[in-house]
Amino acid sequence: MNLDWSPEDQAFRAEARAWLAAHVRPLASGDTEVGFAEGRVWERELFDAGWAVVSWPTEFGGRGASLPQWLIFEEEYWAAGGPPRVTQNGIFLLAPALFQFGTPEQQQRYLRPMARADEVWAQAWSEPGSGSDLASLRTSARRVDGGWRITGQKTWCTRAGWCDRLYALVRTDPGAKKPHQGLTAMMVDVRQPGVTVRPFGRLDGDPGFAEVFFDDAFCADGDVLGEVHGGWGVAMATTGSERGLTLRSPGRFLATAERLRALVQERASGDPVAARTLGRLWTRMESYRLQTLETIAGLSHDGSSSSLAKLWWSTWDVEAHQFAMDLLGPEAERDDGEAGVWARGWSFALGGPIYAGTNEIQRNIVAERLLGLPRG
Amino acid sequence: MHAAMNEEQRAIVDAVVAVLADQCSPAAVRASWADDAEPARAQLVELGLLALAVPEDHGGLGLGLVALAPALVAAGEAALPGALAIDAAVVAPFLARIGHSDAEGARDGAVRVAVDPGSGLVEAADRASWVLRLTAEGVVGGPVVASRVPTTDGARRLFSVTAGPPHRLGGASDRDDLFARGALATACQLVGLGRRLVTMATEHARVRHQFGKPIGTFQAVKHQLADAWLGLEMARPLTTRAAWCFDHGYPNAPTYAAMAKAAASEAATQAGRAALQVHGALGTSEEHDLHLWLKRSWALSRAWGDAASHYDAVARALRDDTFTLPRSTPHA
Repeated sequence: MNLDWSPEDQAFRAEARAWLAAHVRPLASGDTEVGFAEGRVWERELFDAGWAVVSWPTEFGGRGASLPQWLIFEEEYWAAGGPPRVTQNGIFLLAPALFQFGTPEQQQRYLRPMARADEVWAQAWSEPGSGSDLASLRTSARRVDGGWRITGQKTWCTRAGWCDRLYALVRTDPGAKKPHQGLTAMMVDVRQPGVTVRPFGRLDGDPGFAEVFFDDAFCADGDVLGEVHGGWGVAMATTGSERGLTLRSPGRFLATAERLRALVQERASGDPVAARTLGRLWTRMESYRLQTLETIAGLSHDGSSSSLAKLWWSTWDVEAHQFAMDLLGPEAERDDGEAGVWARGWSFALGGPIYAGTNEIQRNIVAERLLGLPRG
Repeated sequence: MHAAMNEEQRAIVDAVVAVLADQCSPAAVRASWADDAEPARAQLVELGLLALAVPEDHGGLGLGLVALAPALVAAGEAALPGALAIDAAVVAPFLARIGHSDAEGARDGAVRVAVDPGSGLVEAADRASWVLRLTAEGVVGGPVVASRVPTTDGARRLFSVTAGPPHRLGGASDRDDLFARGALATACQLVGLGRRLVTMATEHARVRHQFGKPIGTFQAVKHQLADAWLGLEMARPLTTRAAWCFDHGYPNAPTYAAMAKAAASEAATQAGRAALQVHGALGTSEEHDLHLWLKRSWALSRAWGDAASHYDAVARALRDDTFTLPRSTPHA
């Protein structure tokens, strides 16, 4: 495996770094109404300059960059202080599914507006009664002329309060032999009478979550993604990408590690315990970087490797923020300044082992699919 | 960036695995405790393992540490006794680089040179013509004046070596380079040892029934083995990166070697704990093979620097700016 960047890769990095340096500016949190609106504007700027979805084909707003180049872009983006992407549920979760399962009409209809933040998507999978056991979900769709009418309730829908469309998983065949065989993936317009969204607060203080209530909401046949009753396969294909790669690229954690290094130099220089902790955290961040590179280079063909990645980065993020909080000492409970950034990051990091498939589920997957232990 | 292990690397690893399967069974490892044999050494030397990381213009195969690393992981999986990994990763390349008169012998196995990493405990010293010692001053060669030291792992043939009249072979930077290579070679073996520990435990958990079902169905068993596997899978890419940096002369090589050794030491230690726990009492018995891998992993997790000292080295490199940060390097 060749681990050297090509001249093109290095030029790509330089170009990204320069553009970001000239354009990145602080925004309000994208999990607030004001910040979300600012985020849309930012995403449009990224899109117009060709940076929103670099690895997509140009016809959909990308620049046909390779996956390693996408990793480079992410490293530069996070290092430059780029804000979390309000389009992420669309571009990182739904888009791979559209590329894999979508019809040409659906791709034409949805991908460009998604990348340009003309339409921002939220995920509508989990329910109050169905989290880890997602296949048990009860939101149902009944057949009508030209489409489906959906009734039920979804929750943990990040940023759904301000989104335009929902990527939903609903039950279309209540009589299916196994629960997961009766589900369909649907792309639903939020702006219709049958959809009600109620935002609510998250641990880090932002109203980033939402419940979504469907009351006979309509979804046209043309907005079914993949086969009717084939939604589980669509969802599982995309959760591989969500967990492993696109949701949390190594660049994000490289940037956190660089900030940690500065924090240690500033607050604990000469402290051997802090030094050793930093050394360990840096090492574990590098593990994730390199494992991702190898996955992308095709060295790991196993979808279950995405479970390894998710376990690793989510645990890392908590440990890294725990360390930062320890370095801050009494200031760690402040919500302003540099301490506030770390404190909010700590709250957010705590969700990592929970979302995108809990770490308990991920360990089961590693044990059963990678190690071959019996399901039982 | 190009994907996948290339044909040459794959062929080498396959050949090494075949020799190990044939010559280094668990029974052979166990027997070496008593008979001091070095199973598979002759065959692996014949395969060219000692010449693998020696550049072609120095008479070697020139395939680099990048090719040697996966072979050493395989050696770890088999718990191969002996210092072949150090001979191949440290001794042969160094003697070739400095044009030593024993360079050819080190490459083809005719001459054996033992290495003192600085601890004064030297593996296979009694079979060596002389000792390469890593000291505060640098790298020195010296005669073998050694007495056998009993060890927990009976397959580890360690000797306490007293310093004789030294012959300077290199300076501090050579010493650091050799220590980092030795740490990397040991890290690779630790990854292999850990993998075998987990696969042994997995197999046990599949067949051992209690309460009417395989114990591998219990989440407590699944989760500790999953965590153990995770640590190993995340340590291994660091060995590849370190090997790449050495082969290309990149200045980050020793820091990545430190990361690899620290991560592998920690991961193999965790794997050993999980494997032992899953085996239950069986794992605490010397009659079961598990202890052969366990004891080797304990020894190698601390030889050539333990996890803590290597994490400290990483921290120093970050503090002193001797480590070029990822976004500023020409390599991934």
